[in-house]
Amino acid sequence: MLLLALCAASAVQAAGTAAGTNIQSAAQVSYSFGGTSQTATSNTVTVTVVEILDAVVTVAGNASVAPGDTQQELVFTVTNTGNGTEAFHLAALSAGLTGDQFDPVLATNPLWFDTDNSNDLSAADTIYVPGSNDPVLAADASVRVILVNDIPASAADGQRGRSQLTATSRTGAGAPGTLFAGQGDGGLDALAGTSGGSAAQVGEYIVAGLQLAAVKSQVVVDPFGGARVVPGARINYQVVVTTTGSGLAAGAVFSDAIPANTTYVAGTLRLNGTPLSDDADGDAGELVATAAPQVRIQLGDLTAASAPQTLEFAVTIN
Amino acid sequence: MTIAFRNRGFVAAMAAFVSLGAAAENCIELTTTAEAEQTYTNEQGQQATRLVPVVKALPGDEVVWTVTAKNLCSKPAEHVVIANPVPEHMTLVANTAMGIGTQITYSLDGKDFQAANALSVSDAAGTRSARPEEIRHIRWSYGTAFTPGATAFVRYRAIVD
Repeated sequence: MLLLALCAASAVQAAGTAAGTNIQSAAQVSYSFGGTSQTATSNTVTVTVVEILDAVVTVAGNASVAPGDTQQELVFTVTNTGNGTEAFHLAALSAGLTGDQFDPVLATNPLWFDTDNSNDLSAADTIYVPGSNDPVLAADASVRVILVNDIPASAADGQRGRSQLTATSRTGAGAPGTLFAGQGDGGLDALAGTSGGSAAQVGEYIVAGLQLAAVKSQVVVDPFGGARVVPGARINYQVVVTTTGSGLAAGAVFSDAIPANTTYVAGTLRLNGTPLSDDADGDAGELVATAAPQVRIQLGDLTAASAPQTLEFAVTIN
Repeated sequence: MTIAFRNRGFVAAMAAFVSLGAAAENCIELTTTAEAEQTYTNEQGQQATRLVPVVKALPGDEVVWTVTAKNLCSKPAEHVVIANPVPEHMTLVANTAMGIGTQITYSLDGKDFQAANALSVSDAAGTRSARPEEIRHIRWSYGTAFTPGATAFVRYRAIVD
C-alpha cells in the first residue's frame, strides 16, 4: 500500500502536476499602527492545472526473421506522458514506410495487448479493437502492445522491413499547444503537449539467412540417488544454441517454457556457465513468472561466427 | 476570502457601535493576483509583453504573482511586512521576487528567514545552498511607513511543477 502510494506520487512528478489540481495562493501582511500589531490576509487566488496530452511509444528491439515467416512480433510500449487520464487510439502501419527494403504484411489482427506481460503473443493476450478497448492510461502509466506481421517470401537476406505503431490521444491531437476546450479530465481544457498528443515508433524486421538451432538435453536426479522420473526428482536442462548460414540474428532471445507439472528451481539459470539472476534486471536472463512460466535469455546479436551458446536451468517434478 | 472580509466588516461595525475609536481595524487591504506574461504585437507593429490574468495553467507554465497593499486608514501603517508562501505545486523562479523599498528574505520552513544566498540545507552530503524549489516562503519588509492612501506592490514568478 505504501509502495503504491510512493509510486503514484513519483508518477505524478514525472508527468507534471496532475490535471485538475487547484494551485492556491493568499498573502498575509503584518503592520503596526500606533504601536498595535495587526495582521490581514488577502483574497485567495486559484489557478487550475489543465490537462496536457502527451504520449511516448518505444519499441523493444528489432526482430530477426526468415523470408516467408508468419506471425512475427514486435513489442512496443505506449506511455501516457501527459498529466491526466487519457484513452489512446492505436494504429499499425507497415506499407510505404521509408528507410526499409521490404514491406512486412500486417496480420489480420495486427495489434494485441501483452496482457500477461510475457513479451510474446500468448493465449492470455487480448486483441486490440479500435474504439472498443482503447487503452486508458493514467498519467505516466504504460501498456505493452504486440504488433504482428507476416514476412513476404520475396524478402532477401540482410533486408529490413519496417512496421509502425502510432498512439493518438482520444481527446485529440494537433500541433503542440492546440486547445481542446472543456474536453480534458473533469471538463477542464486539454492542450496538445510537445508530442502533439500523438506519438509513433517504428520497429524493424531484419531478414537473416542465419539459422539458429537449439539442442536440448536433460539429466534426471531422483531423491534416492538414481535417475528415475518421480515427484521430487530434479531435471537439469542444458540447451546449446548454434548458428549456421550467413547474416545476422539481431537481438536473439531464447525462451523455453517450464514443463507442466514441474517447478523451476530458483537461481539455476546460467548462460555459458555464468549464473544469471531470475529477475528482469541488468543481466541477460529472467524467469517470466506468469501462469505459464518460462525462462528467457537475451543472446544479443548472433552471427555465423558466434560460438555455441550454452544455457542451463533446472526444475523439480511436482 | 469571503469570510475574512465579513469578519473585517463585522469588527468595524462593532467598533463603530461601541465607539472604541482606536480599536483594531484592518487598515491594510491586501490583494493577490495571478497573471501570465503574454507576447503581443503593439500598435507600432513591435513585439511587446504584457500581463494578462490567468485562471488556468499547464505544468511548466510561469505565473506572475502580485500582491498589492493599500493603507485604507487615516494614519500611517508602520513595519509593514508582506508574507507569501510559494504555492503548492509551484517552484519559485530564482531572483524574481521584487518589491520597491523592501528587504526580501526567504525561508524553507516558514520560520527561519534569510537572504536568498544565505539559505542553506544540511543533508547526508553536508551543507549546501538551498535550491529554488526548496524555497517555500517569501517575505517583503518595508523600511518606511505606508502613509494614508499609499499603495505598493510586491511580485514574484513561479513555475507550475
